[in-house]
Amino acid sequence: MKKLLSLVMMTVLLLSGCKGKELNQKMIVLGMGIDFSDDNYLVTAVYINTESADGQEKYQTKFGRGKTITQAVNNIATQNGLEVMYSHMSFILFGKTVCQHGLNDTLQFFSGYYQCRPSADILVCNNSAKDILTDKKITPEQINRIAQSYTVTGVNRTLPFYRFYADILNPSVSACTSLITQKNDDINSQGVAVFHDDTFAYSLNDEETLGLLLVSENPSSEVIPITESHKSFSLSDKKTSFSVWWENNTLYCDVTINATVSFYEYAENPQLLEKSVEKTLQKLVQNTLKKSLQHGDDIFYLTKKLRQTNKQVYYSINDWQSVLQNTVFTVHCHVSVR
Amino acid sequence: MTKIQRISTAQLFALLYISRMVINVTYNRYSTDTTNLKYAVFTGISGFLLTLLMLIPIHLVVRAGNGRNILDSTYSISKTFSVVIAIIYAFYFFYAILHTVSFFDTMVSYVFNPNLSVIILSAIGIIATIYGACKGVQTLARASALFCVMIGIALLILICTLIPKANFLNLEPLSTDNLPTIAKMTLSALGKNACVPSMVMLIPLTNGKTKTLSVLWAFAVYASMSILTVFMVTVLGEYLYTQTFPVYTLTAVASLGVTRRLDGIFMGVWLVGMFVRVSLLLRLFSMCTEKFSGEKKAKLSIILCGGIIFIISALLSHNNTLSKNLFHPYLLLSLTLLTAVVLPLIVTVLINRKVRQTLSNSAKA
Repeated sequence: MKKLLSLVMMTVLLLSGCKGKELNQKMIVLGMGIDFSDDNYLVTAVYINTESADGQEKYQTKFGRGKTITQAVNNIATQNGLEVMYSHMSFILFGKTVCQHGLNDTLQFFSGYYQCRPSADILVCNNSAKDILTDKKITPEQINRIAQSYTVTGVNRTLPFYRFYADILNPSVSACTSLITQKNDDINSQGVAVFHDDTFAYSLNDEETLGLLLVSENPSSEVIPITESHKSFSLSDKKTSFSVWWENNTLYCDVTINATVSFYEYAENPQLLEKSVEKTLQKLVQNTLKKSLQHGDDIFYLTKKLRQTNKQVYYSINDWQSVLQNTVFTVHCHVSVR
Repeated sequence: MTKIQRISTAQLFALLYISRMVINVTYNRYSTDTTNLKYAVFTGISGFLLTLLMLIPIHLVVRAGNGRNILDSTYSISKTFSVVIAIIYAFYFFYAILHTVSFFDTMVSYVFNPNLSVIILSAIGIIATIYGACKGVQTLARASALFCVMIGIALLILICTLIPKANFLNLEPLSTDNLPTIAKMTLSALGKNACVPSMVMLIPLTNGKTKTLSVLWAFAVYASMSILTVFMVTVLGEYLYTQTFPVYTLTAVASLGVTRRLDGIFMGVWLVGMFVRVSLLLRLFSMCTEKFSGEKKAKLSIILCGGIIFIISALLSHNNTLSKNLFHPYLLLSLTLLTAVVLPLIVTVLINRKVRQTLSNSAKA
């Protein structure tokens, strides 16, 4: 019995394989671009060129067009007989056209498709995703680097698929993610794209993105110039607290940031700059809050905070846009110089 | 005479913890309303307290039977009654296996590559569990102790990697409107407590303080479940409601530095848990059939039960409505309460009455 079992085990372990497919028979997709034109989805897949012996052309692209996103993705698979693998896909880039059309169908597809990973980064570009992904000088690594750089640069904020889709699904929150642009065969981060429901609404510039990051994330080595002087600083031990309450049919919000400041340039008496730093931070956050609330968008999760403090009111509100547009807010910053 | 295989309390804990957790981690949209998972902490507390109550009749019946299992205890009351009890428990364990294997088939169809043959995977799984069940409770318990350490480490890594991703703004406070939902979820969780009726058979095989162990087991199960669901809600937010198997999605999301793609580990751990649970239930099934068919036929009954389970689960995988009705939470709960509370209480009363009668007869004599 033991011999028979050992034989079975050895057969299972030694004679198994990836369904007999070699690496060069697979299309390992690293990233995907989605555009929408003439009432059709256009999907661009960037994959590793496993047939390139000299490594000159490391990546290749394939296109699929279809009435539905599933059909477009499926058309890629039927083109060259390669087995498509999406499990290594690290980003999804949405073109301007699909963002204007609406992302719901696309997001539903990626959410349900067994091969797609929920941790893939979501990016938006202000032109065609196809143009960026077919540009030979732009590599998937470059796009990944931009996606991952937000904690360092403080000028973009890339959300993974599951967080982006969660924000789209939440009726009171507006989703936002990094916006990139193509310029002279290169790509640059251009702030953050904000969505109303599932369609692109407007973008935040670098300063406004920094205001968003100062509240909702923890940028580690960003460079923030002081408004009234030629010095710049970075923050550490940052703690942001929110107070959100509902009074006289109006939403009130109080944001407080406490942090330690380190100056990049030499300052003779850094304590004197404390007030200027606080003013700079206050202005940055206020501008972003003002812009997003004017559009009726909650990109700071203020409404989720209201749900925790006053659940009954939260579920009684149907028109979030007008509530947010009338929100009264204050921002306080307290810093200490290291 | 067969040598009684005895296990330690730690081994029993491992065996029962794995068997229960494997069901907890297969929360899915078809069996649970995932939109209410945000109240799972409250469900965990109420579930823990009610499970403690469910454990009382189990310990009472074991004590009344002088450390014998319920089937042996009833034999001293009446042979026919003992057979009836054995049939009821055999049916319950059969139903619990079917429920587990159907979970396995659903998970394979939705999470693994859908092109894989569910039937082949299910057949391989059942053959492995038949082998495990034939090896006996002691062997399974030893393996479980090893697996439990693996599961503990996997859970710890998972939680550590999820802490930076958790957004506690996704949690919601409890209001009185949510009480019916919590009650419903608690009852559904209690229905999945097949481990409690299993204790009627396993405690008599265990050396050591089984009362402390069962309390510890209930606490560990509901605490782990609550922690996992808190992370499901805080990490995934509204995305949770779109997912068929949220725990699997959670493992796919978890990453910390180079530690990422933990779904592979989850799959391995989950398959091991499935193996332990089904093997244990198959063994308990054979222990019941042994009471009315004899020792040799009891071993054959493991293979027969495995075969029938395979056929029925294959049929059920094509019929969602039938599967939903067959494993309705209230049906599960009724059967679990019957075997974990009602029958042990009845047997305890009958044994105590018999003892009193014997004592009064001997006093008269």
